[in-house]
Amino acid sequence: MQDLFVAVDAVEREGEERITTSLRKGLLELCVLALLARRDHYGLELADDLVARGLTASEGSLYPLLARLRDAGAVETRWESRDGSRPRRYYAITPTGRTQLAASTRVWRQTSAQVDELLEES
Amino acid sequence: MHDPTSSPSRSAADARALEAHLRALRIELADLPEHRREEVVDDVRAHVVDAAESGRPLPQVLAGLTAPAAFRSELGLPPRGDGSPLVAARVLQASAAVVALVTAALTLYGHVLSSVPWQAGTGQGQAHDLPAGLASGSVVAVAPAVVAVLAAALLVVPRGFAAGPGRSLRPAAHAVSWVCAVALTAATLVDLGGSGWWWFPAALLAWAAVVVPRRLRRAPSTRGTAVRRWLRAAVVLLPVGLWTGAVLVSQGLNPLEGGRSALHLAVVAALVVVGVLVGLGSRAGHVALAAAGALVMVLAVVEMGMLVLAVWWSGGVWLLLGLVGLVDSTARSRRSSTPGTPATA
Repeated sequence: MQDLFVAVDAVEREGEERITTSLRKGLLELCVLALLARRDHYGLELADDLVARGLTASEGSLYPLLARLRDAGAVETRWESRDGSRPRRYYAITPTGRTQLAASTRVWRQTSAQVDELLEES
Repeated sequence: MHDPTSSPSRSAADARALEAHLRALRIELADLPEHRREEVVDDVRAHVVDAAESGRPLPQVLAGLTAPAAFRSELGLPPRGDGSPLVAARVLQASAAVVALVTAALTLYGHVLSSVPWQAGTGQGQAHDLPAGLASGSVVAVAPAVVAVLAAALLVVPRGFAAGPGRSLRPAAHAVSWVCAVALTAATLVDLGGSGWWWFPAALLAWAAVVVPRRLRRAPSTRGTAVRRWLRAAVVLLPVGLWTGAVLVSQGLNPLEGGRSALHLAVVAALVVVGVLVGLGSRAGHVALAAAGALVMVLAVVEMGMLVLAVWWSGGVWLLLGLVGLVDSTARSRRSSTPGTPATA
């Protein structure tokens, strides 16, 4: 009987992880743009911030996203040395990225409000 | 470009592991424009160096990265093929063009010989003695080769014409191969009673340039691949067996006593070895078969003896089978070294 509870628990946890992963994946772009809108970040700093907030489980998944955002003109990259330290690769949001962030934020607020309302009804 | 890997704290083994990952990433994104590809490589390199410098073990950092093939997929690029259909189309199309050029030269030569008046060779014949129909006949003789050379040039020279995303074969390149195959087939059929049959090997190679890349795009069956290999081997071994059998019947058990030279026996032995290697799927065996085919075609032209057309065809068939086997075995080895692509037997 105890084995059955363990198995059910494992299935539930697995399902929860899958849902979390797919929800996070869709939202990662919005989160990255929001962090970059505050200030420029270098890659590891950005990855650590997202992991610490529980917004991504894999820091490696950040780089394909950053490459896509750069190709879309939403993010730009530069090498910069701060306080005499070794140069690091910094990411900055562009005006196009800010426009995209504003649009994504609007959509997120509307959608999340509608989802909340739906969940409360059920 | 700044190179952040130059930190003295990193060990040589770490540097090698990082470079191996970046090399795999570069290969996976090979069809991206260079500046975009290098931006991605710089992103990943900077992340790894920063993470390693913060004290994380490099194997752990590398394990946390998106695998190169998944990276490609995340960028919205189509899955990268192994490039075998593209290579096959280029090799076979170029071979068809070379054989077509030789055929055109032979056809033209034969056309001129048959058109020169009886004074030829006596010093009395003049250019204006040639019949007026020769010029148009020359155009007909050369036109299929021009089509074949243009097709090969289009497939091989401009990098972007034949190669699509993920090293695929573009439909336009495939259409060019079709046009060439139809042109060379028409050249064969138009003058079947005359020089038409000389075009047959070039036409076969052109059709192979249409069919083989399509076959390589599909997942191959192990059984089908092995059957094709041993059928190719049979085409090499069958004439050898027939010849040896004929000699044994007519000359007894010792062919050397019948006046057959040691060179003939050496050729037979070499062909048996080539046949077995072809059956086993050896690349060297297929290269040898293609080379033997080309040599036989050259000998047919140089000797111009009896059954010259049969010898020309035999060489053409061997060249065709050698090249097809070669692109097949190349595809097999590429697939076995490219994760996620189906391997042949």
